[in-house]
Amino acid sequence: MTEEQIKGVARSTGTDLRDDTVLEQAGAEVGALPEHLEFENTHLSEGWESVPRSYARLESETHRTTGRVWRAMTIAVLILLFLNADRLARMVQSLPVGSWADTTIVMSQTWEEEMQRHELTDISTKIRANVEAFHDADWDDVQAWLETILGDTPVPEASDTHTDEPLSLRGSTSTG
Amino acid sequence: MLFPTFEFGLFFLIVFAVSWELRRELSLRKLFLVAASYFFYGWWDWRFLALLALSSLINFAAGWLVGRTQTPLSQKLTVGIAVTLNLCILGFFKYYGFFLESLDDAMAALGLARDLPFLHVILPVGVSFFTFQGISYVVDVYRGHVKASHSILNVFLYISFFPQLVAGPIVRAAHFLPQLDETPRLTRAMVGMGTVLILTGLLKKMVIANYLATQLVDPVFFDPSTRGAGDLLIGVYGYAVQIYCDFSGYSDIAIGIAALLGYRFTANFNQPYRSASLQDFWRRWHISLSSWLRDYLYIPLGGSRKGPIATYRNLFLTMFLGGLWHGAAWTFVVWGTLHGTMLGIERYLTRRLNAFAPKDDGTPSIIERLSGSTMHLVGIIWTFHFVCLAWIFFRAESIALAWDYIKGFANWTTPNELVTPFLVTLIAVTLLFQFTPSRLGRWLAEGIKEFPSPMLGAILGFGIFFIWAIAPNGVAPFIYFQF
Repeated sequence: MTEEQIKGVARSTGTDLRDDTVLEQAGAEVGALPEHLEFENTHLSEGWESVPRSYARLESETHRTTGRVWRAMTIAVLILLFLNADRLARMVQSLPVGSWADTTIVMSQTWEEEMQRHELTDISTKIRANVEAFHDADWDDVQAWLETILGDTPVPEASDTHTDEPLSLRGSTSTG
Repeated sequence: MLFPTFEFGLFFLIVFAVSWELRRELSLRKLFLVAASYFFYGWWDWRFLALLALSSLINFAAGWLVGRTQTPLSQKLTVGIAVTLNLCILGFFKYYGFFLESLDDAMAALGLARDLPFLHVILPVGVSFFTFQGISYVVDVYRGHVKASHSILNVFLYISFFPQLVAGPIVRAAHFLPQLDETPRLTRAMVGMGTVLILTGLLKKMVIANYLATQLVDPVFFDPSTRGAGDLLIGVYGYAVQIYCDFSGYSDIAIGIAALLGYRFTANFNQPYRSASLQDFWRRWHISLSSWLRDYLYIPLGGSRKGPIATYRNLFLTMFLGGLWHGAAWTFVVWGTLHGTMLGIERYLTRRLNAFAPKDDGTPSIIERLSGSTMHLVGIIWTFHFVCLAWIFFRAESIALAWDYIKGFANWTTPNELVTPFLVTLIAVTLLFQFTPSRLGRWLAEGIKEFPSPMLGAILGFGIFFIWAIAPNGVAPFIYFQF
């Protein structure tokens, strides 16, 4: 029975198609049929089954959501490939020994060099340098930084002589 | 295979793709997930795959027999045999060496030294977790909380499902098995929650726990006698934060991954360091274990139904055995004993104070007055510091080292080397997050679920990138893998 035939039966019995049941076939979207509309098995073409409307709604949401997650994961992998090539190159070093692993390692190293050439790995390098600077900072650095922020001490103009200062504190020092 | 690794990322992409392609073929999907879980487990040590299968088989057979048998006596007998077999597996792999060493020491002390049959037994990863899940299934079938499964695949998947296999959360059969009979669904809400949980879990584990472990906790606990009181104090605070971030981070990732595969797990942590009493702490810390111990140990022992003395005994025994569950060492026994004793004392004091409460005369009772905000704050500070004291025994390699650690708090002359702005900030910020609204994660997930896929991808990609960028090199194993 085709969708049109189903709708015809529904019209002839005066039923509302927006109710609880739909007929569903893999890959096909069909209109709704009410729960109280009963078909004999022979009236249904092979492959069709009567399912609750909520089922179809969830199934269609699942279909859309898995696609959405796939697209999101693809974008996330691309971002990581471009921006985090150095970490990825190090991570693949831990793969078990084998020809597949060797190929992956060589490919990742080539990729990393390419990303370095385009300065895409600089972002993570800068972030890491700032974290390391904060990691190495002592309480005197924090005090100096706080004094700078609170304006207790005059701040010298930013100059190249401050390069040994922690990176995380440097910005505030130079801006005063 | 650790969660924050390249191998796991690749593994998950494959599992995600195939499992959702198979969503209309329930049995095939479950078979695939069982195979994936066994692959995940076998990545550590394939020799223990047989043990995992044996444990699943024992529990499936026991559940099936309990379901078929009508007489209470034979049902009890079946449950008894199944629980004994489960505990034998756990006992042999986890406690054989410990008990034999303790027995050897005791006999030597009594002048009765003998050659005992020592064996070098390797501890299978996650054995405590899957054994407890197995026991939970059989007992729940016996209690009628869940029907005996006729599908061996369901039981195998329940026990071996890879997100929770090696370090929990301990999933209940009554909660998980019904989900296996439904067609799996992935909603926007599940994706939102899964994304938030995976990112927060990675941040907790890869950044906070890893920094604290390598920069603070490991050096302090290696030889506490050489450290000053300031270092020791920040060391134990650091460990409290490290173990929380390590374990709750793992749980968050596990729950998030399960959500992306269409399954719902219950929360395992709920801001435990904001607890104003030890009882409250155990309602918020490792919830799946504390509720397991309550339902399968404390209540069968009699709970609080058999008078005050029996209640204190049951509380103590539950925490004592809970401590022993964590590991075969006297330090864990002391940790469990401390918690069991203090829970008893807390209960006793609460009862005594309640006795002063006036009856219906309108004036506030002592308890009501004590539960004001100041006392609540005192309760939080006291509970946190008691928990920290117990953590010293939990983390120390031996009782002697733990004792050195405690004695070191009197040493204020040795200069502090580890009280750095970086470490103090890590600890302070994490503790601050214990006092944010408990629904913060849900609010974030609510926002994320409406985002289009490019924005969701950007959040995932830049989130992982940022975490990787600020995290220290290398990935330390999760603390709870050893349990």
